[in-house]
Amino acid sequence: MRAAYAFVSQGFRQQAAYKVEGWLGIFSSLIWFVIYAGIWTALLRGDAEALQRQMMYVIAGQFLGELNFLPTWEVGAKFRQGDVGLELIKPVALPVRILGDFFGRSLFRLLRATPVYLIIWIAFGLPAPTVAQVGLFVLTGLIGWVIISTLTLSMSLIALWTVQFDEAEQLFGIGMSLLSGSVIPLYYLPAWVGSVARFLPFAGIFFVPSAVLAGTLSGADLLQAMVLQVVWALVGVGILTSMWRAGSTKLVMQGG
Amino acid sequence: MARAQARSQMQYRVNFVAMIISMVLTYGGQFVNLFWLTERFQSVGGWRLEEIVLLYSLAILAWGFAVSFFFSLTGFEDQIRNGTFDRALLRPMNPLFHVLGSQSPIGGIGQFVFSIAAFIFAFSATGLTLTPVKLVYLVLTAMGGGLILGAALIGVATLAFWTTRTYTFYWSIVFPARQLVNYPVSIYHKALQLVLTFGVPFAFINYFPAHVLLERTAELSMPALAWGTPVVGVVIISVVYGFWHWGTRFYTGTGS
Repeated sequence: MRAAYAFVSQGFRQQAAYKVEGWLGIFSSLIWFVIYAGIWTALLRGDAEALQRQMMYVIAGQFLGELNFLPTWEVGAKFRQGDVGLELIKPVALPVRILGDFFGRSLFRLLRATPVYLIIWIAFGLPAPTVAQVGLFVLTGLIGWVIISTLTLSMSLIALWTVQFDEAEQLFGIGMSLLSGSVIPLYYLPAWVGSVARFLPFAGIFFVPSAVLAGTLSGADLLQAMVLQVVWALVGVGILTSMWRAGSTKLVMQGG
Repeated sequence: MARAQARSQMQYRVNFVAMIISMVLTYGGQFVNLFWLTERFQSVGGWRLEEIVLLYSLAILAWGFAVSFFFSLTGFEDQIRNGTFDRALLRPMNPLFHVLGSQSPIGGIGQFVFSIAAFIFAFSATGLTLTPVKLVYLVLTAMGGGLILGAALIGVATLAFWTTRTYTFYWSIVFPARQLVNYPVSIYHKALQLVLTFGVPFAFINYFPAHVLLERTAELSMPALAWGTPVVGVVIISVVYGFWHWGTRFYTGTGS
């Protein structure tokens, strides 16, 4: 645990050091915000209340976008260059180090994005969320991070067996874009798609926390959604652990 | 030797197939999201599904031109870092052409195929006909749009003279900015519409020319803008070329 913390704080400091990237990241996030805000303002023009909820939903999604920033392409590059052999002799397992580092970097990105979106929240005259809402947003957001980070890193680990692994990540990306609620909240999807998407891991990553902050998911529905989130988080951790075990054993056999 | 050639060809074919799959997933995903949104809300800012698909296809076609001729600029930081650009400066040839020459001009073939498919869908769904005038203007406007996007890429590459970075600038500015025009720019705030018309003229890539193809130029407050894309493309790339030329004076090798 202490080792993981060391990687988190190192990731945080590393991200803080990249000044240009930092400002560009905010700029890029703001462009996406403008796109989503524009689309939803056009779609929900006739319904002020729904538009307000949707704006809160969109801002929540921007926070989650920073949290779920997972530069797995760096891991891929590491594997291609053959550095992975060196990874095995280090005392802390690769997934712990990578995810600790990613989480630290996400924390910095979040810290930097918070004042920006706070100002936008106030400027749009959106109502203040309750303390419980904020708490549940943070909690469900973190569970969502466990789901996405373990699943995407597992996909990067496919590279331990074969060189081509981009397709798996691309398919996952399409699932994220269509079924996670990062673009369209599940309740605006066609009914049959929404009812399937509710049970998939993607929903726990964007939809559940965003809807919590927007006030569109509460009570028994929220409880059910959170149970599903925890189940998918456990599945993700399980897959990652077993893949890392199997993959590192295989590498040792090759080398020795 | 022949076998080696054949093998390398095969390698490219696999890459090509992978590229097509990735493109189908990306554009297909965007299309499905758009389809679901217009199914739920009928139109986005008064634009129906097929009309927005027309915007998409114009944007993709212009991007195909930009990818074919300018995409190597996104990797310009490597040429600066490795010192390859020093060589370009010593040659009796415009250094910019030297940079642009370091890529294959068929890079945009996937975009061309995809945009033609999207055009066929958009035209058959809107019931509009493609007159010879429209066809000529379509080709001219796609090239003009390619020049506008190419100007954006040259601008980004020029920044590398000071920052030695291009990838981050591309992915944080140009990539999201391109997505702004996937939807009609009329959904955005007036100030942003002005920026996209007179500052970073991405509205000329698809929004204005789409009015010609849809025979809706009368809806624009300045109908002449609908015909402006080729001219805007030539003007903007000349201006940005001036910026690039000025920037080369600040180039100092990285010492590697």
